[in-house]
Amino acid sequence: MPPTTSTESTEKIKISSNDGVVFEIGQDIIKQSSTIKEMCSDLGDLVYSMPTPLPNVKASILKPIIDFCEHHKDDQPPVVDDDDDDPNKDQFEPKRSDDISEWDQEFIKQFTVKEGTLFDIIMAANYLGIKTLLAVGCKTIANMVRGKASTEVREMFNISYDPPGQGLNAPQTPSEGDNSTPSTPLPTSTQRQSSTNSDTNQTPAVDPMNE
Amino acid sequence: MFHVITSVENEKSGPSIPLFNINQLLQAMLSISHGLMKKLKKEMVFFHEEQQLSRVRQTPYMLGIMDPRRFTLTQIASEAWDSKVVEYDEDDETATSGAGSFTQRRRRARRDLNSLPEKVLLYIFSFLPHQELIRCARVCRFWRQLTQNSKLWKTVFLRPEYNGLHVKNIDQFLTLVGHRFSLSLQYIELPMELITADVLHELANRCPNLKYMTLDFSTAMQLHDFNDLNAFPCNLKMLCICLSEVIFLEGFMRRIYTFLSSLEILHVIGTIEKSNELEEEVYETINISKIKAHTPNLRVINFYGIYFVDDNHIEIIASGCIHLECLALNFCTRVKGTSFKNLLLRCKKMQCLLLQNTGIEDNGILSAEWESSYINELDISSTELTQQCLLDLFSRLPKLTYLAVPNCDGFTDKVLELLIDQGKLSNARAIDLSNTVNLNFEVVFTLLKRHGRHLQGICYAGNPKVTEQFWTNTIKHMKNIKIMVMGTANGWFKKISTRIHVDQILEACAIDCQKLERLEIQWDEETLRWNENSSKFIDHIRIRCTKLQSLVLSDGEYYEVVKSNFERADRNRVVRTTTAYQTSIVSLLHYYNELRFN
Repeated sequence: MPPTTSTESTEKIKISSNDGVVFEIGQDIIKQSSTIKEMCSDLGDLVYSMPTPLPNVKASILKPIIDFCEHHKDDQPPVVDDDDDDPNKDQFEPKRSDDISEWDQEFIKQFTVKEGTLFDIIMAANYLGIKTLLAVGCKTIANMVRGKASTEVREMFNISYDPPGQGLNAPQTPSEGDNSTPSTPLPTSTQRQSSTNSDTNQTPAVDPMNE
Repeated sequence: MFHVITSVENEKSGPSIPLFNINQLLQAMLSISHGLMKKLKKEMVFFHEEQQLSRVRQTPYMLGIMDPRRFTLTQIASEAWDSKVVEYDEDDETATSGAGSFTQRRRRARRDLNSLPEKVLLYIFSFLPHQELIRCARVCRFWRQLTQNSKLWKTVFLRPEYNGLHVKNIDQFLTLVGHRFSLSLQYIELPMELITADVLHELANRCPNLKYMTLDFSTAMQLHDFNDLNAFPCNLKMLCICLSEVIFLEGFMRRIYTFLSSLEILHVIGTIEKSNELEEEVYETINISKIKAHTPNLRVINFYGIYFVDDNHIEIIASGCIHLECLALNFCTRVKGTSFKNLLLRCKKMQCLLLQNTGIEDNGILSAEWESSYINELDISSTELTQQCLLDLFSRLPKLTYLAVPNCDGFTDKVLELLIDQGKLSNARAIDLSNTVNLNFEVVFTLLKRHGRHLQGICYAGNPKVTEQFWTNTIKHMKNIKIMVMGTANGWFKKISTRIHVDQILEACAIDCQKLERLEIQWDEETLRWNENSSKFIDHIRIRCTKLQSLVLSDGEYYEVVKSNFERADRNRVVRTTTAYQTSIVSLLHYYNELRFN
């Protein structure tokens, strides 16, 4: 007999990916996904009778996500500190991205930029509302970007180089002088100059952004 | 022009072969010179960028697949033969879309970094420090726009000597304040050069959510003219002023007193780190009584290393700040403690008193009424109180959650026994007993055995008689420990004769201390005993203590072994040396967040 509330800890529900594969998950996985949790409370008893469709997630991503949640089922629920409007004192320390656990690091290695699967898992984690997985994925990308020159970043993520044209006389945004190297004059005028500067400049102070 | 561009875009996303054909066609039919092509290319980019501004997300990814040069050529082609190109487009698409390349293109596009929702991208960028963000801004326009999102600029550090950004041009910075920081800005650190009336006006007018501000005058030789300063952020919760050695700040301060009423946390950072000798004449470079008169809501006051602060100032504070909960006077050497009687009488909410390296003397401490206070966090490191005084003090204090007494010669066995017997440390969260020469480890053992259960931080370094046996026997009682500092450096000087089996310590931690976050082992390399099998124990602690963020060891071969072990497992930055790092229990103070500065 399905219970009237969906907070029973023993009932399993079925979810199906957008390509039709059905998975069964227990409450300890459900509680990690805010989206599925909400679906359960919205659909009420229906969740026990038929599989809940997840139209934005395919099976090849959903299966690893379930494995991830299985591994993390005993974690404490994360403190709500990702909201932009939450005046959290710890914000003043820069957020760390080097504290991904070893298991999580191994897990996320299965997903790559080249095949696009890394973005798939991040999108899925975002859609399903699994904060820990989203954090792991985003921290991984942040770590990939860290310390790279902009040409390397473009290559890595296949982003086109779209420098401003010379036809522009005024910059669109107010030009900032909030970063500098001693050698760069303000404002820079040609794109060639700024591109070479960006590639050779590895110090924390970078050229002004008024390209 | 625009519909030409869109048709160009459609064409671009197809396979590249047709485009090459177009190139050849163009060359042949128009005989365009290379220079003309370049010009047209730039114009194309101009239009492209305009489009970018209007359709932020769709355009970048689609264009992301193509090289800008191809825009121009195809544009020329489409301008030249409008209809023909469109037909070609259709042919192109029908020729290749049969196999689902259209959907392939879509799928390829969806898995692009730039196609992630903006919130997620901002989340990714939020992990990068500003120096990195600025570098990211050069990657592409979309990223540049994202990095300028004010949500990423809530806290701004502008002091290059403290790892902040360097502002070269104040006028450009002023426009930034309004555009980029505006409503999101909550925390800002300003170096001397940026403390001007203009900057403060901008901050006051454009950043109403600014709550935490640091004004660093420490490098100042001369005060700017502040006569026309008539606006200042008035919702500040915290203000940190770094004093200068040579200039009086009254000229600035008197313009801002009226804006300080919301202040809850005040830091005044003195110049003790900069000056070497004691000054003969003491200059009061800032007027504390005036500040106090305008800040009735202060809860936390931190005077760090200020020469001129003495008991008179404390008396003044005592008479004004009734909400005071935490007073830190670390390194204010002229404070003797005679004002503490009044301080405790008036400031009934006082809970935390930090007096590291102050000049406190017995009589001041003895006369204060500790028994009727609520003080539960006390730091008297490196002070000269005698055993008698300490016995008296601790018998009258309420229960302590945080106690730091390193380098206190008066802290003897008797004192600690009293603390244990009277149960004053039964709920202690953090204890620092390092370098207490008159304290023997047996008593410490009793303490840890009895009260170790709740303990989150313990520092007991500097006793040369302590060996790994002490720790292996006590660690099992401290299952909740997060911070642990042990060992004795300079073994040759202290004549440590036995060698320490560090493996056993690591093993004990691995078994019992799952919550361990910071571990510091100060024994020199020569004192440690380890061998090839040690890597097994290093593995064990690395795997079991998943929260371990910092493992500090004495520089040497053992450090290298541990470091490479952790790095192979991708746990970089965990293992560090004692030459550069020092672990402390300070983070366990209740008021730690409020007390942080610089």
